[in-house]
Amino acid sequence: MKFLSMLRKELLVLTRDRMAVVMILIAPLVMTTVMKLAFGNMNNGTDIPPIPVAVVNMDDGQIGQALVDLLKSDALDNLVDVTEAGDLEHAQSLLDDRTVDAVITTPPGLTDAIFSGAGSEATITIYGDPGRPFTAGIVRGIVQRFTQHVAAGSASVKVTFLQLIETRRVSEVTHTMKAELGERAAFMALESDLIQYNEIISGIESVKSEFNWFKFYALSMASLFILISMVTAARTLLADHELGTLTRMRSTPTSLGTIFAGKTAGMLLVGLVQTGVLMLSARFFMGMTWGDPLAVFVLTVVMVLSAAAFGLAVAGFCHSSGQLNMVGAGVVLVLGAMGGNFMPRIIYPDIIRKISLIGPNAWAIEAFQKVVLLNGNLSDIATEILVLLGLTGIFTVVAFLRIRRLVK
Amino acid sequence: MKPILQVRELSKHYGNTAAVKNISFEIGETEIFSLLGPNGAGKTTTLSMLAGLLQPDAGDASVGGYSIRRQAQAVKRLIGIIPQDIALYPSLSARENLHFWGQLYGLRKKERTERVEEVLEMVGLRERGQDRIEKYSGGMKRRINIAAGLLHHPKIVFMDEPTVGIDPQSRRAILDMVKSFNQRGMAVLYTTHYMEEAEELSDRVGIIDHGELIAVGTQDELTEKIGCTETLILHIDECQDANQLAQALEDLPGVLQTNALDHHVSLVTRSARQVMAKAISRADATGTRIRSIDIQEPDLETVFLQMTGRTLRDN
Ligand SMILES: Nc1ncnc2c1ncn2[C@@H]1O[C@H](COP(=O)(O)OP(=O)(O)OP(=O)(O)O)[C@@H](O)[C@H]1O
Ligand SMILES: [Mg+2]
Repeated sequence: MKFLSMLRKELLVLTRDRMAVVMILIAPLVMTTVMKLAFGNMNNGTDIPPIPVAVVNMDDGQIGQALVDLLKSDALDNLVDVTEAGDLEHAQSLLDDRTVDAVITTPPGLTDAIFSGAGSEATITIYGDPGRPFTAGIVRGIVQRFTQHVAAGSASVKVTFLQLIETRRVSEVTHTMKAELGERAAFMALESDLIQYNEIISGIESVKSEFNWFKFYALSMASLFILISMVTAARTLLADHELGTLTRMRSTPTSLGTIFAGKTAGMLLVGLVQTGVLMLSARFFMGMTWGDPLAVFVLTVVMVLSAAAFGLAVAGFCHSSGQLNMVGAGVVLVLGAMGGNFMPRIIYPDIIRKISLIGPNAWAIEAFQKVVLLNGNLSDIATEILVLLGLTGIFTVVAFLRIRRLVK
Repeated sequence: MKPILQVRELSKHYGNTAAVKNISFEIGETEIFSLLGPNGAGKTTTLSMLAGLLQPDAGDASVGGYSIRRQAQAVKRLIGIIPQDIALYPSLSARENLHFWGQLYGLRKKERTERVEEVLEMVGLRERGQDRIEKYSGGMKRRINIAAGLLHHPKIVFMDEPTVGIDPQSRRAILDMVKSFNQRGMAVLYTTHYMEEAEELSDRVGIIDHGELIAVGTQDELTEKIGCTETLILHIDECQDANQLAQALEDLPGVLQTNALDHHVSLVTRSARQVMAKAISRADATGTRIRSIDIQEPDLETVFLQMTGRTLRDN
């Protein structure tokens, strides 16, 4: 069958390309091994010293107190080291002399504002040390999860808006958490075992385990190198154009459909092998568990699909395989940085986190974190899977429109 | 002779440029046919349409009775394309390359293996077949490039200027190969802007210029067409004006046509010897120094020159 001949040739060409083999197989394995050596002994967040935080609770209701209780709970003992500061000035002085890394303030009347329902505003402000965005990001993650659970308690009622933005102390801008909850919703939140304390704790456990560096990097490498390898594999399309082999293929009694199907199948196979090898070696040589097999499998397939479409789309915009090498490396690095392949996205400002959502890697990481770090299953990552499939569709259309010129 | 290829009023435009205008010709089953024309004449465009790589704007052609428009896949089985530039995978061996191309022609394993060895033998590279293409010399790559177009035993082979930019030895080898395909019963459609190649190889020649096929025939038919003429070529110094000299010689008795070209003027004449003396004295009178004089028997160059007023090479 011609399709199989095409596929076989694609694989042969890729495996003969030493650079491609390095980028596709060797580099991700080496990176993962290095991560294991660097972070392998840190089993979880307990190895990071607790982050010193000051809390100024000006709320006189249950929600403010719940937040303080949560922060001081045993569960977070090894993650945050909480000081209750009487007022904002004191807290800020602690931040100034770097006794604490972040200050959390709850406004007077936070509980009331949430109860009083639609239209009211409540502002929880986090002051982060701009010199330590990373730990401030963790603190923000904790508070964010807390506020999400306040909302989650009212699942039966529509939550219109709930947002939390970190501000940098230097810029002196406060951010606003707008909680437009119906009164009933807030009551339900409290009624149902005050904001589901256990769930918050397990949510925060996950914040901690997100900082299991080895796991974090292993799945980051998987979702980064898949982009690199698919861009590398898409290069063969431009190479075929430059070599004249694409024209020669077209001069044989072989349909364009078969030619492109063979190429795409080659890319997908390479992507699956790469990710498979990476996962299996992390599993068997480095003792990492990947979570629910079905979820991991589906996610892997969808991630490879989206990355292949992405690679072809990027190739569509390049005039030569040489240009694709440069452009591809740039695009992947930028998406990798924004999408959280190097540092958890949680530490980035909102705007970057939003922009990063155009890249498949941000969604893949998010989903992998849910599966690997939070023991999620397929339904927990349904959104990410659907978005990845949507991105696959968009990239495929773009690739198709751009690649058409090669066969004109 | 039964035609293997019939071209009927084929045209192709790129934007406002007419790359190929209303071309018609036929090639017999065992014929070598050359399309002779300068750069940009429309040779590659014509071949691409015939090979099913490019949609014609108008007209049609058939190969072995199959229309290039409606039965492109059947046509592709009958033709062997030999691209001008090497179109092979450098990192694969010659055998791997040939097997891949053979697969795309639908050849099954056993037959394919035989064909691969056969064409390797034909181009004299059987013992190097396991080497990667990137390790080959330029001439050897060309030979494999040719071999890849012959695996499926095509009825007609298309070769687009296969000798451009290569050394004389490889060129010789390629011309000999073209003749050997023909002896094996394949028709050949060969494009070139080298008059000598067209003369050496072809049974018939089509002269193409600015997308138009301006004459078709055997070499004798073509030279006959322009009459019994000889061309007198006056080479002059670089600093002198060929146009001025050409004008001065226009009305000499016995001169049918004058052409001013780079550093020389050519006079198409009934008899070069009769015109020569008068031409030299007329040149002296205009103050043009003549460095040397050639007399050319009519050939395809003359035909082209007379039909277009230009030479094949320099325009
Ligand atoms: N893809 C294209 N887009 C626009 N114009 C083109 C394209 N390909 C060819 N042409 C034009 O069509 C005309 C014929 O080109 P073609 O390549 O067929 O000539 P050729 O006889 O093969 O020349 P050469 O000897 O240089 O290979 C030229 O004027 C050329 O500029
Ligand atoms: Mg050409």
